[in-house]
Amino acid sequence: MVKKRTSSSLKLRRQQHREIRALTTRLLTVQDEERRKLSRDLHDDFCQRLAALGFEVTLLEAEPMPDAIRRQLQGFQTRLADLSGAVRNLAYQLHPSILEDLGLVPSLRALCEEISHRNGMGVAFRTKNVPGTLSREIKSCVYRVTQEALGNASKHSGAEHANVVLRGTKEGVVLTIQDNGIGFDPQSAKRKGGLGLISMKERVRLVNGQISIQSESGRGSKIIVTAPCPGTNS
Amino acid sequence: MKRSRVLLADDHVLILEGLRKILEPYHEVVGAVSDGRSLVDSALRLKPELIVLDVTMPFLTGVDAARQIHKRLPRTKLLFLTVHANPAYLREAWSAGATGYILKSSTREQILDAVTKALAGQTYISPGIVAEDFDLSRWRGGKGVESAAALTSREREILRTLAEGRTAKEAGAALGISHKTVAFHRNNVKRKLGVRKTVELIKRAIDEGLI
Repeated sequence: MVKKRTSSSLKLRRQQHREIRALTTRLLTVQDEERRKLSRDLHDDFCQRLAALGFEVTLLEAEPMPDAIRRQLQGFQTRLADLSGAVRNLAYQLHPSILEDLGLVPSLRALCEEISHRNGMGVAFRTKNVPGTLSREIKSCVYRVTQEALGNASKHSGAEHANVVLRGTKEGVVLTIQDNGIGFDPQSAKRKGGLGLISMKERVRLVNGQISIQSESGRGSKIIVTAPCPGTNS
Repeated sequence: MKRSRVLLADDHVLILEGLRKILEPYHEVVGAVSDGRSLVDSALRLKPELIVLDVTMPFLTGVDAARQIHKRLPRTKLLFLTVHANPAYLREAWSAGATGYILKSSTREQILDAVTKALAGQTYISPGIVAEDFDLSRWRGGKGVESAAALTSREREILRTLAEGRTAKEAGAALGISHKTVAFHRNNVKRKLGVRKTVELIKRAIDEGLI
């Protein structure tokens, strides 16, 4: 009787676990899609309209006018450029449109350069046989995992440098991110409910991939993601 | 000053109008188009001395269009006018053969200066994108977007045209090439993507955000 009850309770828990995971996946997809749309609107509509407004202002500068008005006009232009920059930054925070504009490799290269520049941690980036066409989901997954992993390494691990390698295989792509920081205990990070690690895992699961996180205190960390995309490199 | 023949390309009408107003007193604006495919067609037909173009445009991006134009009209100067201050975009533009790269937030004087410099074959890059002494030549002629395994810009263009629901014959007519050429490229793309049927090809195009 007790055994029966335990078994049905286990079944129920497994079912609930599956439902929660499905919901998380759905949430992640919907959130990404919404952010992508919003980012596109900000970029394609607001930024361009602000740029056109800037053109109108700069065209007025060619007309004869008192110096005080000219100075005011130049001030308008500077403020317009600042506003345009702020909207573009917001759009980029919401979704890295560079992924669609330029593709995965230039986007990752830019990300590595930006983190090296901003956080002072040297990031080397290498690629080998990356398939030219990858699904939007895979591109997004690889980009976001790299962003999260490098963000963690530069903020928490004290790493001086990191290596990012993306290579194509017959089955798909393999992403490796390795740093020389102080490392961490993946189990304890999991218990502490680190959202970064959870979201990385969910993103990889979303593309039917696999993620391995190897880290030990004092010995840096290594994250390997494999994402299948059959036929892309055949 | 000699009036040079300039072609404009941007998918935002307001930008095209503004740009025309800035340039027309000094140059002859021979055309204004709003997508990459029309840009390639117009460039080959009009053979302008300078093209002022955006990086991101429908059907064929500015970078892909520039690559095709630079190959066939190497003397035509290409000046990118964009909102993207990220050096990654500059790098792609440069690898496609750009002469200059200017931000849309620039003043009328800066735009006219960039146009004059580009026409004279001199480099103009908006300040703040890369260091002033940065060596751009290392980015020249790169393979571009992804890797050797990437689709060519012609293949991407054909894929987009087919994904609009056209047959090979219709796509050929739209692009001004024979349907056999379309079929040849389509089969190459299928082989590269590892798909057999055209319907799977279109699905991939949608999934990958090509259309």
